[in-house]
Amino acid sequence: MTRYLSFAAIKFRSKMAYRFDYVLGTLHTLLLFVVYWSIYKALYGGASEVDGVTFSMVTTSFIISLGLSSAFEKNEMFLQDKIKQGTIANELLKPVNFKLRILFEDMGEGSFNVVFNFLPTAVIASFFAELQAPCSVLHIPLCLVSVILGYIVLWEISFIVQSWSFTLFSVWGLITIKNVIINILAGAYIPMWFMPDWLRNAIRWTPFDSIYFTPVQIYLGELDGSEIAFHFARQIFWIAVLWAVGEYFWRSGIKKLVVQGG
Amino acid sequence: MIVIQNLTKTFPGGITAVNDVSLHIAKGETVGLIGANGAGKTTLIKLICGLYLPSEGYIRVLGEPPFGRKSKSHPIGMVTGQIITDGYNYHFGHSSAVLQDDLSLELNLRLIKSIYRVPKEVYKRRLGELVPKLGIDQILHYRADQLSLGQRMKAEIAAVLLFQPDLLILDEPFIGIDVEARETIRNLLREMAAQRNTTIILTTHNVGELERICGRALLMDKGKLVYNGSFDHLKMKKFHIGLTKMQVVFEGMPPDLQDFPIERYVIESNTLTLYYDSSIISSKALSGYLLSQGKATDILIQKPTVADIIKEIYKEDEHKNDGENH
Repeated sequence: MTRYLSFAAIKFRSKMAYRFDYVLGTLHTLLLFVVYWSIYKALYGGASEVDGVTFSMVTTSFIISLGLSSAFEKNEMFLQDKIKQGTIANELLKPVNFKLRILFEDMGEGSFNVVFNFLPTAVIASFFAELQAPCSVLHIPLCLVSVILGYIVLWEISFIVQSWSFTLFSVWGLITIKNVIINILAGAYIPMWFMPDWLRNAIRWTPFDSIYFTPVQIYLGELDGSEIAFHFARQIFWIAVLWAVGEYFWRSGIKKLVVQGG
Repeated sequence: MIVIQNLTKTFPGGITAVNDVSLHIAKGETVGLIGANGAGKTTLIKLICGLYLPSEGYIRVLGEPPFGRKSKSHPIGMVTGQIITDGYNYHFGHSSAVLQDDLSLELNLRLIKSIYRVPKEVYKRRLGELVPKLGIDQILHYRADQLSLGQRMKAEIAAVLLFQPDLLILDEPFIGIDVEARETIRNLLREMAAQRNTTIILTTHNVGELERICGRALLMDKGKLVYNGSFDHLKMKKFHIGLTKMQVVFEGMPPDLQDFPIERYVIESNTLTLYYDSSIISSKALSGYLLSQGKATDILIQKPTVADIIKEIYKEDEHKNDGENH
C-alpha cells in the first residue's frame, strides 16, 4: 500500500513545481463556474424556483460536480501513449499492479487539483453565488465518501475506454465521445432534476447517476439514512462491475501484446 | 539463472523472430547479445522478461517461467537505449524504461526507492555514490523528458543501480553516449556485477563495445543462435572482433608488410586484406607506409560489422562440414 501511496504523493509533489500551471488551473475552474452560474441565473430570470428546484440547489449541485470533475482532470491518453511507445512493457516489469498504480497516480493529481484549483474557486464562489450549506455536519463526510466512490466510477469508465488502445490506432475520439456522454447523462451540466422522467428512470439503471448526482443528493439532504446506504451500495456495485469489465479488457489487451508483440 | 531450451517465438503473420534457441546463463554472468537489426535480440530479451509468451520451448528465469511471474522479490531491470517513435512516427527521444517522463529525476529516484523498497540508509548511500560518479547532480531537478540522450541514459543507469535488480538487461545502452560516459557506465556495471553477483545481458550491434564488459558472446542471426562462447574463442577463431579491416588494391607484387604486427592477411588476386588491432598499429601509419611503397592504388578501411562476423562463422561451419565429408 505504501508503494501506491507514494505514487500519489510523488505525483502531487511534481504538480507543485508548476506554479503558473495551477494559477491558470484555478482561473479555468473559476471561469467555468462563472459561465455556468450566469447562464442559470439568466434562465431563472429572478424566479426563486423552477419545478420545485431552487437556484441555490442548482449552483450547489454544479459546484459539487465541478469539484469532482476537476479532480478528474487527467491525461486520458496515458495508456495509449505507453502502448504506442512500447514502454508499456517496461511498466509491466515494475513490481506493482499497473492499474492500481495509475489509479493512485491519478488520485494524487486529482487531490492536487482539488486543493489548488477547486477549493480556491469554491471559496471565491461562496462570496457571490447562492450556495447552500450542507444539510448537516454529518452529511459532509458522507458526501465526501460518495464523491470518492463517484470518482472511482468515473475513473473505471475512462480506463475501459483507454484499454481500447490495445486494438485501436487512436482512442482520442472515443474518449471525447465518452466525456460528452458522461457530462450530459451524469448531470454535470444539466442537473438530473430537469431531465424528463423517462430519461431519469433510464439513467437510474446506468452507472452515470452514481457519479455526480449521488454526492449532490447527499449534500443537499435529499436522501434519508437507508437511501444513503442504498446509494452507496449502488456506487460500490458499479465500481465492482466496471472494475471487472476493465480487468477483462486490460487482460485481453496484455494477452494480445504478449502473443502478437507490441 | 536463465535456462532456455528450444525456444521459438512466431508472431501472427508467420515471422519467426526467435527460432529454436537453447542457452544457459549462470548467475553473475555478463553476456553480450550480438546481432544485426532484426536478428531477434529484442524478442529474445522480451521472452526472458516474460513480456512475450513463447510459441514453443522451455524457458525458466530465476527458477520460474517468466510469463506472469508472481514472485516480485527478484526484480528484473531493463534499460532501453533505442530511439523510439510514437504511433504517429514523431521522434520521441529515448524510450522511458525506468524513469517516468513527467517527473523530475529526483522524484523519479524517490519513487524507485519506494517501489522497490530500498531502505532509507541504503538509498542515501547509493545516491551519494552514484550522483557524483555519473555527474548527474546538475540535472536532478530536470524532468526526465527534458534530459538529453546521454543524460537520460546516465539517469536510467542511476535508477537501475539504485534498486539493484538480480537480472539487468541493457538493450542498446550506448546509442548516443559519449566515450567518457560509456567508460563510467561500463565501470559501474562491472562493479555491480562483481559486488552483487548481478546477471547482466547487453545487446548491441557494436561488437567492440561488448568485449570490454562481457565474458561471453551470443551471436544471433535470423532468429537463430549462431555462436555461444567466449570472446577469446571468437578471437582465436580469427573472427576479427574488434579488429580493423584494411583492403588494399595494389599493382604488381604485393607490398612488403615489414614487421607490422598484423593479425591476419589474405591476398586475393590484386587485393590485400589486412586485419589488425588499431590500438597497436595506427591506421594512419599503416596506410601511410603502404602508400609510400607506391604500389597501392586504393585503400579501404573499415571496422567489421556483425554481418561480416556472422558470414565468417557460417564459412567456418561449412569448412567443418567439408572436412567431415572427406
